[in-house]
Amino acid sequence: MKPFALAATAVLAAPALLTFAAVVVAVGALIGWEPLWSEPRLNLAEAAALNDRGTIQRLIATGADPNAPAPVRPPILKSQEIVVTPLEAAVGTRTPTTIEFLLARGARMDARERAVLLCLAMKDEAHEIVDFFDKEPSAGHPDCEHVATPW
Amino acid sequence: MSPRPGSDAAAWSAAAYAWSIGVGVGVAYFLIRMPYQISDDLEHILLAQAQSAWDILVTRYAIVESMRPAMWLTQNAVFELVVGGRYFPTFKAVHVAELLATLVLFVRLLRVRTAVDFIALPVALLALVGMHTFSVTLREGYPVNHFMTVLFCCLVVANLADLRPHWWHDVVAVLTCAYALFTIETGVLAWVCLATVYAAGWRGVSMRGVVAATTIVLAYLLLRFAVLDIGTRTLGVTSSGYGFSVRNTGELDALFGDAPWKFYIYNVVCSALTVLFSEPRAGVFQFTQFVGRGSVPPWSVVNVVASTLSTVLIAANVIPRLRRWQHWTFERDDVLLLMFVAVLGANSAISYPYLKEVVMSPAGMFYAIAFFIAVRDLLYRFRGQTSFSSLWVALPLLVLSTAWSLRAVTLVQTLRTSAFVNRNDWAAAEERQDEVRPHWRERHPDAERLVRQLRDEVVNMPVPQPYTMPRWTRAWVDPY
Repeated sequence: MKPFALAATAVLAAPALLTFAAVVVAVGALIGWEPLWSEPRLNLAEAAALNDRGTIQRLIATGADPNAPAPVRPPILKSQEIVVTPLEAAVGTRTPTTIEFLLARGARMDARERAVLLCLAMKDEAHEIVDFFDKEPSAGHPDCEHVATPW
Repeated sequence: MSPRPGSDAAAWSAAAYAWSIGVGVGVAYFLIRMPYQISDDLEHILLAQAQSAWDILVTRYAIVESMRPAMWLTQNAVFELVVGGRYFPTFKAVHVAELLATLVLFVRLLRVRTAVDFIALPVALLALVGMHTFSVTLREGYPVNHFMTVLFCCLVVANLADLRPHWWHDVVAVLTCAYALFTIETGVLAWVCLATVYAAGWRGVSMRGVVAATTIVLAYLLLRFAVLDIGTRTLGVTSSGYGFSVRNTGELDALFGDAPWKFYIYNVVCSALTVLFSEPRAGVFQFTQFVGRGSVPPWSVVNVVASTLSTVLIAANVIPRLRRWQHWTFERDDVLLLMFVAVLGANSAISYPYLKEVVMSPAGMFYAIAFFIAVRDLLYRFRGQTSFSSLWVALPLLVLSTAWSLRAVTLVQTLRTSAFVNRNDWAAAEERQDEVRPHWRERHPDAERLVRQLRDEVVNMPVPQPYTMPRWTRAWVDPY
């Protein structure tokens, strides 16, 4: 190979490959093949665990129950599948944003659920969530020794 | 330095345009799929819904620290163009049209006429879209992407000046400069392009046109600073990067309160450096910090290596031209390089109050033009070589093209990530509006319905889940 051909190949190879891939992706989209823009089907608990408020909004709008426990596939929360409510799953995000979002959309938090969430948050050292619950100091902290948590 | 193009010049030129469209279509695919950010976007749509074009012009032609009447009118015009409630598709169509037009005009300015020109083009296009300043620009949408508008206007003006003189070039160039200037502050760079290329000898726009555009710029400055006293952002108005972190307004005030000019100089210098070396980023010396900690993520190495090598190549190309420039003699490539230098200087100067990467996107675009010239000229030198001792140059070229390709991939990933973040924000659109603008529902009887429609449209758009991205790829993707 001549030096010029080598230099030309060096300059062109990666950009050519990438541009070809870009065109393939765009053309693929026209026939419904979108490997770089696919979204896995999630249930409400999985969406809550992944802080995916867009999916939560869509599922609730189409009739999903924000209080129904559902299986969360590994490795979203744990290395094995676990069944939790969306609120419990939301503790996995370590921030109260999704919990607040769910509460504003019909999720119920009775005393038992509150205790479970708080104990999960303390176990996971999710300080922001603990602080969120501490905004209501009258409720206090449960005795987590006697609270059954999903993990 | 370019040899005379042969009879196949038209074919290479057509291939170059086709290539740019290919890149544009690829980027546009991700752009179309990405929901816009909610901040600014929703508020501007609601304003367009609540006010007529005249009301918007009267109430918003000048607000605190900005004078952008063309921005508001453009948004309103696009909003009025919407048919059947298809808001996002309409705004996206404008956005994609701007992107494709920008890429085509970019290629036109490069004047690809030979195989060697063509070989240098793809890496230059990737330098354009892979540059961090472009990445943040592409993601913007208010919901019209005004930073992209400025890129487009700069290229329109430069391309007009590159044509044979004609009276309508003057008219279009003056109108373009005025439109860019009254759209967003960096729009003044369209005038900088025009003045630079005229000074360097391009006569596609006449002296009359340049004088008219200059008069408009002066009138703008007079109106803004002397008549309306709008001013610009100053120290303490917004947070900004300094040293190794982003400082809030209080910290900046404590550091520079009695000598703001020191901070302004820092910003001007850092603005130029970020284009030339990808360091610092928005005023923060990120790569240096990583090195100090002894842990540099690969994406940061890729950014700095790509930019530094490219800048060295550009500098090596410019230095031999300086003697000619001193005699005020310019070949076509000289004019393009001068335009890069002028835009880089002016763009950095405009950035004096605070550092924001999106603001530097015009300089980033002209950097890619300078990079094209440097790579192409290097390839021309290679063409005559038969000695394999010069092969050592091929290796840096390979590193460069691979690094810019990786940066272009980063653009795609940032669009994917932004899509998820933006959709999350839209899911809570009403809560957000209630918090930020409590009386938004009273603006228009249909405001609530519009917000819900837009929200539902966004949450029904599929977006990639960040958790599906393999962990190893994160080290290679610039998260900023």
